[in-house]
Amino acid sequence: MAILECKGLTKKYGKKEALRQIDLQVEPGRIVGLLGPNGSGKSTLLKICTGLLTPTKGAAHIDGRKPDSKTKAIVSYLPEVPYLNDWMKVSDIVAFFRDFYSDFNLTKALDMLRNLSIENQVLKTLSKGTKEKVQLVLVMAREAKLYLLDEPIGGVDPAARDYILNTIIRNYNPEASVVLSTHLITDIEQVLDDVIFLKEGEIVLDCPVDELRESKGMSVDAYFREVFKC
Amino acid sequence: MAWIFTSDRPIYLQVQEKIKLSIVSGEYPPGWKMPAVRDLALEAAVNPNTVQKALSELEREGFVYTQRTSGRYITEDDMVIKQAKNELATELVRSFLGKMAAIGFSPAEAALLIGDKAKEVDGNGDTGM
Amino acid sequence: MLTKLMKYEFKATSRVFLPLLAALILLSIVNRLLNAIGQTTPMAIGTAATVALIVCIIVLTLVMSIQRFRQNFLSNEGYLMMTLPVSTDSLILSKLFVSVIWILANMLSLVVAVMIMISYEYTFREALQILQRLGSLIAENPGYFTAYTLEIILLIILCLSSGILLLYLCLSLSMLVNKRRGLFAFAAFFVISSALQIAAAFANSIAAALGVTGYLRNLRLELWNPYSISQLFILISIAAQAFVCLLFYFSTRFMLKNKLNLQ
Repeated sequence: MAILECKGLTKKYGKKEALRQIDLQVEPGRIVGLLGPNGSGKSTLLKICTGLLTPTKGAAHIDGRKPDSKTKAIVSYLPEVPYLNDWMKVSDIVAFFRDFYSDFNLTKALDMLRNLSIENQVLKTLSKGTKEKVQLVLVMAREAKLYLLDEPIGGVDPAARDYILNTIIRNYNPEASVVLSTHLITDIEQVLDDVIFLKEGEIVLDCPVDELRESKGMSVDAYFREVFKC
Repeated sequence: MAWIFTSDRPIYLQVQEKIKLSIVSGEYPPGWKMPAVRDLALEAAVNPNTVQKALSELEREGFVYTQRTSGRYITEDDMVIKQAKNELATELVRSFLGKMAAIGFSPAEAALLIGDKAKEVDGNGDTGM
Repeated sequence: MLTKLMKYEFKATSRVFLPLLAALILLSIVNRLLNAIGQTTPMAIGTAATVALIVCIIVLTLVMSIQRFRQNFLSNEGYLMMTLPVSTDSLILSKLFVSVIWILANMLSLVVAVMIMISYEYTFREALQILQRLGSLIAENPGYFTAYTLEIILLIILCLSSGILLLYLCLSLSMLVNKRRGLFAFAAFFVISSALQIAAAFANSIAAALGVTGYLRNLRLELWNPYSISQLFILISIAAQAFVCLLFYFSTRFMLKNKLNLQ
């Protein structure tokens, strides 16, 4: 069964349609890239899947359920914005995650944080990039069924990007799926199984990366530039 | 270091070729136990499913074999490796000749040039390869 | 999950309140000592500082109720809190309960601080006398006393809750707009509270029209009489406050569940 399924998903903000008739399925074990320029509806789609937004029409199903506190227990979501309290210590936040998420793997989290060597620091003292890494570590240290990562490689430097991609590959689990949204495709397409192109709230392409490369004879990045040419 | 891929072909094919090259060159010796899919994926910085697919293809072609419990090994069949080596060499020569033709060298002329260069390299001592 | 949420809510709020309350108690003891020595200038300074601190605590109690809800649920932190595997009920109630508890704790601390400052011999004697009289009153009719106390406590908690829930509702309603949310919440506060007053006046005039008011006027003002007007007044107030609480609570819940709009 698909771990994520959207049927006729439509989201309107007032009169503006942010998403229109989205149909998609994500099978277990896939790493899916949700690609599109800014404002194409990527974040809105992910927010609906997390339950932060309710769709105007249609529905998103996680493991067969509409988003609720049960689906939140199996979805690990990395938003675009930093959401951690500045006054908390890294160890406090780890405790917080362990308290609320029964799938939180403490050993894994501590291992990953040890590599960043920031366990006992207060978040306020960390750089923006390191804070983002802490958030990623917390999200990826969960043994969730669905990881929803909103622009994880947004404005980070190449080293941080490698760290993020490495983390995603290292935590790969054939039972779980990853959906990550981005508008920067270079260097990440080799990590993806499938790509979904989102244009003005509609899906214009949904296929495996290798299939696209084979049939078009070009990289996803090149094809993306062609589809979203200004 | 992540492996480098060209953008015009499927990534699994390129992973497959890269591993084949490592086998032929002896970097992955016969009978060697291959790293786990995840480690290979990390090394190449590609999706584990892609590595899996490349390995399945290699297995189908006889370059690697799976022992049910202990993992994946490089074939110990010399014939397979030798044949792959020949194919790879043929492919290289063919592409080389194509490039030479583009700058006006006939295959015979190209061969002559190779002969000269080969003597030069031998004169400088054995440089490996 | 509610207890876990409350635990973290206490952690976040006690950071602010505990030092303030400790300072208040300390300051009141210092004041008492200065008083005993009888130096007027330091006494004046001490009193001024205490008054400032008390005002500060009262203002902060209100600000914290607003800030904790707004910042934790409706700003960036909302991305964490609203995706936790907990129900919307637990989220709202954890904030509400902790807020009410702090208000009560702060009120209690103020009382203790004042008692420390005025703890002269004769005040002790007076307080003792009051307690004795209260004791004899209770002894007359312990059952009604207990019921009365519980009702009053319930009414206080409901009043505090409806106030806090109104703040929550206004903050949640401000998610309907994308700019000037603070202003919108402020406006919502005035609209809703005046609407409530109008509704109360309306209910009053209906009661008068039905002759209820006249009936009430004939009731005797007796403290221990279960049918006395004071008793009836408390029960009506409790019912009204409970209704308002439920109204605000479910509206807030609807907003958080269906109209969440994080910025």
